[in-house]
Amino acid sequence: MTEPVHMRVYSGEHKAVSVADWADKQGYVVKFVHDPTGHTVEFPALISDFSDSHSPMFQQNYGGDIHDPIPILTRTDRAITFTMTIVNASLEEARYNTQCANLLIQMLYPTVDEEGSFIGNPYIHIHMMSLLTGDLPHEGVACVIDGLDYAVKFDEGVINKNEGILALNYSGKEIYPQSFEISISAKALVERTSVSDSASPFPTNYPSYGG
Amino acid sequence: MSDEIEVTETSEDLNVSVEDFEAFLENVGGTQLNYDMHHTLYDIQDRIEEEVAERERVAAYNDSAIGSRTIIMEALYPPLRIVEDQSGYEGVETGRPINVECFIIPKSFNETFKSRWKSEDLSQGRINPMYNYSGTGREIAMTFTLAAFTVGEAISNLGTCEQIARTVYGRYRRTTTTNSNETTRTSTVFAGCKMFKIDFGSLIRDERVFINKFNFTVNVDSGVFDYYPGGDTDVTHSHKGILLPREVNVEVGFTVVHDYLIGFGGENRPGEPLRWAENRNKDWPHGTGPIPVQEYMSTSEEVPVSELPVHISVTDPKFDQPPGDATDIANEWIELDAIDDENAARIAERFAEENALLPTNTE
Repeated sequence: MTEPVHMRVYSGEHKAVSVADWADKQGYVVKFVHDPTGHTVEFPALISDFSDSHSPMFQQNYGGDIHDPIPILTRTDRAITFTMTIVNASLEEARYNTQCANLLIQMLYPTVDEEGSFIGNPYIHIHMMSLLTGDLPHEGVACVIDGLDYAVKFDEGVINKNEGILALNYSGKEIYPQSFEISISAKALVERTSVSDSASPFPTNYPSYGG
Repeated sequence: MSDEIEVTETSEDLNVSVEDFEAFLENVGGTQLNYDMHHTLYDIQDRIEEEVAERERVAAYNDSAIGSRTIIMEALYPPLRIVEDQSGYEGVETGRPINVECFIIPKSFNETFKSRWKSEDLSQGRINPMYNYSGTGREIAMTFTLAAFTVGEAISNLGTCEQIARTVYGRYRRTTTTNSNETTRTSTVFAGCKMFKIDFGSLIRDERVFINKFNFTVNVDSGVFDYYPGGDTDVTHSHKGILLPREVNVEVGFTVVHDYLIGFGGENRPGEPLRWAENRNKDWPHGTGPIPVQEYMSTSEEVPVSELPVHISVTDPKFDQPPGDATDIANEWIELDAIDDENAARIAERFAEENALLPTNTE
């Protein structure tokens, strides 16, 4: 296998009743690209709690007979957090979405060599409509994801086979919630632009929200 | 006439009335029924009808929305299994191993993956800190309810909680030493934490863990099973002073210690850095049932034997044959492999057929 995997939003038999259909038509898609392997995975963008925080780090010095600090900017951090809800409209979609979630979780792991040493750090590009874009519109923001939380919402029910609750789960042992949440906490990395004439190392439109 | 009766499953099978029985006796040349025999037969018929009515009522109750609550745990969710991993305990006296299997009503399932990135500031104005990656940890936190509909279930639930509570305490071993004056001394030595294998359907699949949290609360608002002298029933017990809650809520946390390779590439995927390291044709971390895994998760294709360098040992009868015959040997191996595959497929097919004949849980 030499080509990376691209798992797009669900497009199976039950797409018409799935939120994936609307997301696909509207372009409401969150896309993750694993840097070391090039694998990509997409989810319908049912986003809640999106936050993009830019925090300048200052050293503040005070001189004699001066009220106000002398600011020394060391750097500016960008922290991104958001929560995606993944909704399953059918058993088939639930299984596919589980594979997508699996790939996203796997993206938190690096590539390793045959001795078991880490060789490719798990940097991930996240693209979320106009909110998280890179230098080019289709590119995402390079990030280190330091936390991913996978939470099942049991209160909303689980998908069983068509036999209803009498479809005893002894054999398949599969648990597919109607919906689950993935919360991401990431720190953005700034990628140097190669074409800018500006003295600033930042891309000219950084950060871009589509405004 | 014996009091023992065979109760049939449906009322349709009970169409034999006393009159039918009399007619039957006449046909076979039997005697007329006397008064006592009449009454005995009517009693039996009444009892059969009552029994069948009761069974039909219970069946209807179980099929109803209210009745379904008694089977909903087993119906919707597979059991939670926590089994103490005894590997590495050789020579350690550890007592009775913990082995829990219980049906639960899950309330929450949170799985957290935390990557450890160490950042360093090298100089002012540097647009990104230096990030050094050192691994990703996996923790699972679950809350669930253990519900009891009978006294027996309440006792069983408390027993389950006892066992899970014991998981967070350490292991100890006893050592016996004999001094020079031949006095024996026994001491207890701490032997570290307990490790477990846990399984919960497709969400946790036989993972090796240590348990980092256990908390249980009794929901007294749901009620308790009361004491009532004279023996246990389904809803009362005869042991004054014990508290048997109808509902307990349990919170438990696991830290996963993977006992297989994770990441992309690695020693199981030589020359294939885009494939998942485990190479077991199995989704990870969550199962996806019967659908095929994605290509990058599938087992790597084995290199055909004919493409492998052939090694013939000196003890091999074909050692003295000219090298050109190595291809024949490889072909023989390929044929043998094909026969093995056929046998395995046949066995799997037979198992599938036998499984199809087994009664299902709904029957």
